[in-house]
Amino acid sequence: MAEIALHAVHKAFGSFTAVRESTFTIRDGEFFVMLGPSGCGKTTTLRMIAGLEWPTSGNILLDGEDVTYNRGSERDIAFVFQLFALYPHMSVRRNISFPLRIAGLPRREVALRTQEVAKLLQIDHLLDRSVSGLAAGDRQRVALGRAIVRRAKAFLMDEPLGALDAQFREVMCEELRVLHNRIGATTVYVTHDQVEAMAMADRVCVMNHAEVLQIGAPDEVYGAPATRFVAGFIGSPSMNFLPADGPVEQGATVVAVAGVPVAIPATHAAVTGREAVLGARPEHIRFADDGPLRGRVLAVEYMGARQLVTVDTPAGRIRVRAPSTERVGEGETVGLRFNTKRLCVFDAATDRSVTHGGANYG
Amino acid sequence: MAEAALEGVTKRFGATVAVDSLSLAVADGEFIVLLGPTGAGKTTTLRLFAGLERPDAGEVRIAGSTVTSLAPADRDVAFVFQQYSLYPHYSVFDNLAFPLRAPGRKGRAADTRARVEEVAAMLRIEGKLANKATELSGGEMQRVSIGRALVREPNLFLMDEPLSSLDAKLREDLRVELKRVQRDLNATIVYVTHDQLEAMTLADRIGILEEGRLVQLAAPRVVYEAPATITAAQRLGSPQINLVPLGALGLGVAPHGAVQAGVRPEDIAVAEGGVAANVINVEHLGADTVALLHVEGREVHVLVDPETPLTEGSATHIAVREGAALWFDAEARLISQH
Repeated sequence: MAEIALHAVHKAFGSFTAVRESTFTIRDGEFFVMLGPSGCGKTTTLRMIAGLEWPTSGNILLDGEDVTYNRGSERDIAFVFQLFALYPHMSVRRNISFPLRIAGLPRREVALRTQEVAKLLQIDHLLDRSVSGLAAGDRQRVALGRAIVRRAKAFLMDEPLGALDAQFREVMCEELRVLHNRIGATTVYVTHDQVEAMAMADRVCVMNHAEVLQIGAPDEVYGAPATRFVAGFIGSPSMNFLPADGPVEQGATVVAVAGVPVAIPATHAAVTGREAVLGARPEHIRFADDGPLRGRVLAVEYMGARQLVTVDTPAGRIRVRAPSTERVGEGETVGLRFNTKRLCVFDAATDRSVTHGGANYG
Repeated sequence: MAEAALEGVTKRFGATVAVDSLSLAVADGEFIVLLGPTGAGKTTTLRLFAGLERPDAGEVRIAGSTVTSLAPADRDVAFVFQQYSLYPHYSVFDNLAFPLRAPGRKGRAADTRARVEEVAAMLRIEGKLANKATELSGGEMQRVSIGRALVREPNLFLMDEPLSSLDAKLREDLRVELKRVQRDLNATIVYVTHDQLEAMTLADRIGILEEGRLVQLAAPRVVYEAPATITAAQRLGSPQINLVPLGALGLGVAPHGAVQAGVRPEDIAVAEGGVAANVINVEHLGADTVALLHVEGREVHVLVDPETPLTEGSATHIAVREGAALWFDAEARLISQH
């Protein structure tokens, strides 16, 4: 088990800054997900924790010990690259025990630990089978077993599910998380897929352009995004962003969009100029005959339990997520009402939230 | 645009039957999405329409005439592949104009320009016409590929996972565009995907394929609410439908012939006095929360409002919404409740 702390960690490649002055602590036993678009610095951060890159400046502490310039092999951290590449000619037992045999552990110890891990993953009855004949789900469990058999202090994973199709990825997310619930090892997981991040993380660390923008539990980064980037990156379909009319004062409880007043949570800072943007998630808007903002339904997309309705309004194109039981037709004129306490207001000049989201930065 | 049909078509590759006496009629202006796992015969079906494969039995009809033995070029169909294949040394304009300049189709330059500009505007790439194809982003390149199919106004569009190589946000945008363009043009499209969200949002009707057979062909809502088989039920819905034995989860009396029940995760609610359950895992997905529960010795997924109080390791009680269960017979077929 381990706590991983980064102090002002900075990484430059020539004139390009890959990671800018990052300071945060990954708690012991935590499932910590680093999320961001490609090139944001998340993988570089992970590689510095692993010891595969050295920071330009700053320190990395593993359980209080400064390991900044230790080699990867001296850190007792397991880096899981390709989670799903198995050795096809080996049995389940030999696949799982591979890292232990390479490390030169005594045979008894290898046998014992392999058995233990197989039992944990409920594949102990398959130990002597060849991996090539296994069902897909069991193959993944073998891969997981091989990853965790080393009992490292922490597991680092870089997009381990990237190559899988959507339905299968969903199953594996859950499997990984359930396994984490059982063994509780500190895990740092890098992905650009916000659904994966939300599904698995205890805390999500959102990065963009080499900077950490927000760290928080999934419901925090979703419900109280610190910046407009975080708000837009997390959630699918994306949050609706509507330009607000005129400046917004500190403590304001109303903004206007296209001349229609909309009640908002009180702002903790002012937005000067014409730079305020109202943010509303598709599920925080509902249809109401007397809704003040009116628009024409452009498209209705059926998604099973929910439907996604695109409405053209004077304030712009708005997407509404509603239960499929509500019947809405294309071409209809509808009124929209906002769920006040879930709305956000951003300052477009700084990208920062001036509603509840700004409070819990970092 | 025109209607198209496969009638009793079979296609074998050696001992493998890729498409098994399949009949599928596509109406004029209809958007059909074929959905199924890898190897179900989706792409082969598309290639049979295109003439890239010849059937071993059955007929292919397009716009009222039998085209079974016609070459692809003589069928007046347009094919959009997963990987965009543009001419890298051409501008966007020339890439789009290419099909109109092919020998035998060549029209007036002014007509070509007008048509290319119209299609470019439709796909919102009108500002990029002078760019080289290599100067575009992935999403723009795929728009050009789709545009190149659209300029021609063929009888039938065939699309094989055209959005799957794009990232999530882009896929979402292009999905909406594609649907709008299809409406505006009244285009007839047969579209292959294994993305259920694409299938549900794009299709007028979804065709569920399983081992070369068409298991169901119906509107998305019908496939979701009344799936013909268990595999069709599993194909749509995220997380997947829960399959439970009769009498589980406090389900009432099963109809005659039922051997198994299916319950969608959103049809299970936390309810005092319901069946006891333990919470194994909770995923806060933002708009929804998905929880994995241990109930009566098996695992069950529920999809609930994010405000629902569920925490890992705690105990709770659940109930299935009245009338929400789907019942399946010994052949895994839905037992109609109506």
